[in-house]
Amino acid sequence: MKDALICSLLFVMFLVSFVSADMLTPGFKPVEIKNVISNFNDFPDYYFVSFCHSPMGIIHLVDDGIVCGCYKYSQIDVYVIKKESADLDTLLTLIQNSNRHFNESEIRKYFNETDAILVLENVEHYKTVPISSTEEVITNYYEVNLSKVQTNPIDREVNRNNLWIIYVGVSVVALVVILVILLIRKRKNELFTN
Amino acid sequence: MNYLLINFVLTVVLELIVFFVFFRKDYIKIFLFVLLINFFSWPLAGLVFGYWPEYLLIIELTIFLLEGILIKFLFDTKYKKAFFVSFVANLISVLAGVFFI
Repeated sequence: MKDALICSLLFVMFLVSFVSADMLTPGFKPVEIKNVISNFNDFPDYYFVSFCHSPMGIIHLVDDGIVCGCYKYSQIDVYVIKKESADLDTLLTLIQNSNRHFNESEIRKYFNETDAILVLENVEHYKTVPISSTEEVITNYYEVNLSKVQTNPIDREVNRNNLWIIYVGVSVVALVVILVILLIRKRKNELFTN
Repeated sequence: MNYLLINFVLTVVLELIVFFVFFRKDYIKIFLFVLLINFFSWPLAGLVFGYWPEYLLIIELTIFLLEGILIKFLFDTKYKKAFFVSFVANLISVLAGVFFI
């Protein structure tokens, strides 16, 4: 009975650890991150495959140079595979299978067989910012080079909301009111002393 | 937005308690001044924290100094007392933010 209780408790703690891992830190919000391969069209002879590592791994074909996001704690790498050495049907089957049952070793084996080249490593796809932040969407631009693994974007665009106008506006109004109060008080004091 | 509102109200309530302890007269005036001081400093701190969350300590120090100056003039008190009240009020609101929110 005691063992069963301890086991249940450990099981609940195990589950809770997963639940809390998915919770946002209070006061923070996630921002949308878009990753764009700007010279995607320079490689018509290659398939671009984004590979999300476990937990919750998945692979995608990169379409129009836009790298898909995945589970926040997964790492995204992008590989290129020469079209002549990769059979599209096999690749699509592998992608479909990765949706149902992710098998990292099977994917790695396929990458080895097709001489896949790692071009982007650890692509940023999840970020939290303070709730007061004005950041809404971040777009990272990458320029792929087949002879070099890149980890940082060459350019970054941050779209912000207009919340800063409210913040600055409220502050300025408050400061003006404070200054008016101090000026009126000063005038009153001067009148009294005169 | 709700989170920001709760955070603001909590900051004002905690700072009010501190101000009531240090300035024991004219509670309505204290309430209005504390509200004004926070309407000035809180949005600025939030905005800067949104850009550079890693500089929380520097932001808090700046707010402590700014509020200290405002307290000195609004409450017509000595610099020493003004900065002490500002320090206590900001310390309590930061600790509440860290531990309860």
